[in-house]
Amino acid sequence: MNVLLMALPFLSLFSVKNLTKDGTKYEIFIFLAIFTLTVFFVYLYIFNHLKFSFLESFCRFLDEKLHISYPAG
Amino acid sequence: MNPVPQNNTINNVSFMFTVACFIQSSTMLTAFVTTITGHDTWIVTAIASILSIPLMLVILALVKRFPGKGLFEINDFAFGKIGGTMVSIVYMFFFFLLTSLNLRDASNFINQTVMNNTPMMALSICFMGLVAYATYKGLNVIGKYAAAFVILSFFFIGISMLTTMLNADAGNFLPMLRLPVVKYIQGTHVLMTIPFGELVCLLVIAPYIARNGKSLGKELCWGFFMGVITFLAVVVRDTSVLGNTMRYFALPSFQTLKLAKFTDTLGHLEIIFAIILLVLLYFRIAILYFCYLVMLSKILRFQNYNYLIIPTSCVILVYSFIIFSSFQMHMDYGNRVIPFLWIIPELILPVITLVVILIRRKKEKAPDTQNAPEVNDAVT
Repeated sequence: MNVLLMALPFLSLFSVKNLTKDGTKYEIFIFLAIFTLTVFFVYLYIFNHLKFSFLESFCRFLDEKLHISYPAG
Repeated sequence: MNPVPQNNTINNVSFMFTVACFIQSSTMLTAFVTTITGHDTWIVTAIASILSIPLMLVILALVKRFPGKGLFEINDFAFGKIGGTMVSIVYMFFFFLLTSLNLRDASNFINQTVMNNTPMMALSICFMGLVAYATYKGLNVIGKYAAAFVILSFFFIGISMLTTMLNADAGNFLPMLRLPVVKYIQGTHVLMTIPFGELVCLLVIAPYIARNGKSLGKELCWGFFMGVITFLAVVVRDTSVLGNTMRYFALPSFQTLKLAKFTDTLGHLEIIFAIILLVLLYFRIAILYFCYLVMLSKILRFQNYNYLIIPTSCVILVYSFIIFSSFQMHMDYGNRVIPFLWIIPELILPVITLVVILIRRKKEKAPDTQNAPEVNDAVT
């Protein structure tokens, strides 16, 4: 399954041909930046170094530090 | 600059069914509130749907004041270029989180009910692939099936009510209103934010509705009404069958459907109902993903959002797995913390936007009215 996930971001490279034909230089640059970030994100997850979850950390912060929550149970 | 192709529109009727279908798709997420209010959930559902009407009016007021404009343009007008972009980024992140959370729910549902031994990653990849393909084809492809989904949903909910009637007991609704008041407030708050408040996504799809000069008020009202009636019917059905035990189930609707049977030999029909629940979830995720892509492509000033589909769907896929360490944690935050967080994009920002726009329009009109008598004087 991880192999499939590793290959998935590279599918987006098929659209580069159309983008170079229709898009501006700015769009190509942004697309490549997003693609690089995606590959980085996916591979970090696959190699299990990724322990970042914005929503969970933010919810913990609201709940524990700021006490913005309803009482449990 | 519009990242969505021009022929990519839905008509008024499809819009009405889109609203209904979007609310109906939340019937699987009743556990967020049943764990709080148990057999009194139907009361908080009724209260939350009434209290959500002002939010619908705010959405409608914004749509009416900006025909052909979306959430990004409205934010730009209200808060200026930089402020508007910042607010749009908040919305974009909101839609991203919603898509990830709903994808996690969908994979979890399939894994728990239909395909117990299949890895959740495989299910998520297939589901996200389907959603990405539908979004690639456009809003007209997503929206034109809404009517079919709503009718199917009505049909199956009707059938499920008939087939669970033997297990229903009116005594399961008793005793009423015996919980602490804070539980009713919490339940109402959760329902107002999680299924009903998420209708703020209509502000993104509004410019892609072929209105033919009509206002969308009637369609929004009917869609909301159909969705709320279905939601209430599902909660009443589950309460009548499960009673107060519904607070202990992660998927109360599915537990009810497990008891549905025509005869002793023709039972265990839950797989049929699971399919319709999945179809509704697909629709919900597709709409949320479309909104996310539209907001992202407008923020990045992309002419076409199709280039962003594969990279963003990979990120959503991975994020849906790391967003919460377990489904129980998701449920806990869903009924205790997230309703506070969701108030910002669902209620505070739309109300502030409307107020700012009304003040701006008033100020713009003020010089005109001062000039008007001068013109009249000149004529006389």
